[in-house]
Amino acid sequence: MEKFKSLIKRKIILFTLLLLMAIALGGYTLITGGKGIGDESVQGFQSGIALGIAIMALIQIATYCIALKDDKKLKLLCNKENDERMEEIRKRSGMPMLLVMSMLMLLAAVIAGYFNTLVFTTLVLTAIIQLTIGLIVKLYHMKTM
Amino acid sequence: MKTRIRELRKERKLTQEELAMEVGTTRQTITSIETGKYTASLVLAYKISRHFNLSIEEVFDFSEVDEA
Repeated sequence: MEKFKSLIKRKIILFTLLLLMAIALGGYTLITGGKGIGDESVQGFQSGIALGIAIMALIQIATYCIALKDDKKLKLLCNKENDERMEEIRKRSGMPMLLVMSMLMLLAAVIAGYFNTLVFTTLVLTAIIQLTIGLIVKLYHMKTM
Repeated sequence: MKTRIRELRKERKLTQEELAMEVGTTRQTITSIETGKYTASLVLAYKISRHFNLSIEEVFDFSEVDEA
């Protein structure tokens, strides 16, 4: 369990960094008022993605902090994260590679948003479709396994 | 794969949640194994059998595997 505790502590640090990055991105877009971003919808998407990442990171940090204080919750979290059935379902639905690819596409979309709206839209749509397919396959396997 | 997990669990008055906690898995996985939707790995099968102080063959029914 000590090994899992240190893993959780490392994850808290990672999510804190992610939170700070999201705040920086959101802050930058707010301060510059989206200067350099051609389309208003692109600017809105960038603010939205920054807010989404920040909220997700905050929820994860809170979940991990609560689990660290309670041994039973920590054991439950450990069982959940190392569950072999879920591991198999994730593998069958192409995770974590699909998630990594989609996140990289969204990151590329954020950068592309400063230069070309068409590239931005294409990347965002591809990432969303990819994630949706992954989610559908995951749900299917969760039902059948 | 058929198993005797539900029967053994009922005998010992254990809930799926408690068994899952003991063997380091989730309640959903125990449910899937009990209903035959999911076949446990060797490690998990060993942990479950050891929890009931029985051998793997006494908990899991390998007759279908033998036929194949």
